[in-house]
Amino acid sequence: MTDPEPLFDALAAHLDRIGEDRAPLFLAKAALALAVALNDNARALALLEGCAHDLERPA
Amino acid sequence: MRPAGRGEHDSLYFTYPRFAAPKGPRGAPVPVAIVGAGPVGMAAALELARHGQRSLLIDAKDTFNDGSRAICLSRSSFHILERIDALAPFLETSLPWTTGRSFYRGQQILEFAMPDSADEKFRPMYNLQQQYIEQFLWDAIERCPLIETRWQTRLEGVQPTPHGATLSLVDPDGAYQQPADWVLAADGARSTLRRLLGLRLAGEAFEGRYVIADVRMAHDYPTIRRALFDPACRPGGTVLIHRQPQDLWRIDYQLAPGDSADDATREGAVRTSVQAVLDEIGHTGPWELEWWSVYSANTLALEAYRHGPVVFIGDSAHIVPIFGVRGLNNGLADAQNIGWKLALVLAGQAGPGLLDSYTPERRGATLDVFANASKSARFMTPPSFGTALMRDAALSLALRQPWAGALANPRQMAPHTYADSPLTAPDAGLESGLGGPVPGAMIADARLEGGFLSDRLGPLFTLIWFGTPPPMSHPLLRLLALPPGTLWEAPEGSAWLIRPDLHVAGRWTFGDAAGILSWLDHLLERP
Repeated sequence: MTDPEPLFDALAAHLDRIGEDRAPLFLAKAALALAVALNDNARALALLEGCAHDLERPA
Repeated sequence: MRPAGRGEHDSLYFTYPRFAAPKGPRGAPVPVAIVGAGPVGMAAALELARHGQRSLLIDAKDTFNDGSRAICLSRSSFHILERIDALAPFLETSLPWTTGRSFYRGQQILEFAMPDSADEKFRPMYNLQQQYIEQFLWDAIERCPLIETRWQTRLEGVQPTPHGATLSLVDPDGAYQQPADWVLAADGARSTLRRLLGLRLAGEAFEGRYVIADVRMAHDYPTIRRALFDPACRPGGTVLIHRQPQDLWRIDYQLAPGDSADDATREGAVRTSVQAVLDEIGHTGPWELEWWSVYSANTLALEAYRHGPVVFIGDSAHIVPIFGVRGLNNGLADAQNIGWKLALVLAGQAGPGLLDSYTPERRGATLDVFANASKSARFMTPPSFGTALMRDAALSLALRQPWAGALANPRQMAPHTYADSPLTAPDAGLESGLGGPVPGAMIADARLEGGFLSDRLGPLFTLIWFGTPPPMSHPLLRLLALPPGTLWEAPEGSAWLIRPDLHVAGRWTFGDAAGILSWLDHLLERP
């Protein structure tokens, strides 16, 4: 598996620079571009499905 | 609508005729009454006449529809116009086009070209104002002795009879009863016949509403459809720009969800919005406002297009979003479809069961448009937060990545394939890997020695036989023998049966005269 550290840092830096207002657009672009670059729709869809979980703060 | 001081038909460039009220006898039974002398009703009358059948065309108005309305005629519609002998003025006047360009925030993200080649007699699309479409069809009707037209004639009632229906009609001279064996309802989106029969359109209403405005101006841009997403002149909205003949330009712009249509269609508001679009595309010269209207991107259709002797054609049967350019084009295909079938039934050359194929074939075409419209609508008028965000993401990506621009391709539609129609023979070419058009599909044209394939087809059915055909004949069939491989890599002995509307009724890798003739009789004499 690739080292996620630089990806984490780069995303954080982009989001800091872009700001909260434009963050959804940036993340939507990033997700779509990365999913297409993966060139494996089944895998991309499964990863997106996985990311849709655990978005709420536990009660 | 038109600017203050000008009447509904007071155009800058088109003189609307005034048709007199009917004179002479009326009320004698007719084989076919067509309610609505718009483009679809006129095309139906011409298709019936082409096959030798008389019809009565009635319309409440005394002239054509106001305004340019449906301006895009597809290649398949040009084939219909050619077959009803109305084509020449369309070719002379309309503007052919193949290309569309999409822009996001002022930058071009996509240029698409619709399929075209030297094998095609007609271009993929032609722009022409609807009043010219009506004028040119009317000119063909005036040449045709089989069509009687009564303008200023309003439909007020319809009663089924054992042999058809009786229409209650009113004209300036009074009311009378008009019996007809068959009635074609070509009376548009607000169909009187639909209301009189208690029928309702069902489907979805999309949020998007557009103002469409025609302006006359000297503007230097080729006949290329422009789509502006999120432009500075209309943040968050979409604008479409089409060139029309006579220096007319069609500008469609989307209203925001909270905008009132009444406010947006006031002349001052239209002028301000149009000026903003023209500023955006760099037009600095003068312009004149010709006409405007407003529409919603709805997808609505009748459950059944035929109710006993009454058959719905065009907008009376289906409402589709304007940006798919399938409203009028599908209406013309409806008119041709019911026209040839009804003509054969009236002539006793086919059983009435042939008409049962009308709803599945033409409603299938409408459902195809609906499926496509929801794909277009997600870009033109995103229906949800998620769709809007992903639309913006795709458009923003498209500035640098061409694959994302393809998501904004409007996918101008090909004619519907009647794969599941009762008239379509089981595919006897599939297992052997036969190429060429599949059963139910409309054939693509092809260049043959001295012309095009479409020029060589008969008025009714045509059997294209590759190689030397066996002796065979049928009163409704023209046999067209072509050398093997001339088209579709067709092998020796293969055969395609082509319908009057250029759709494939069947194909056979190993043609067998008796089997093909028996399929033809089967589809004509359906009980």
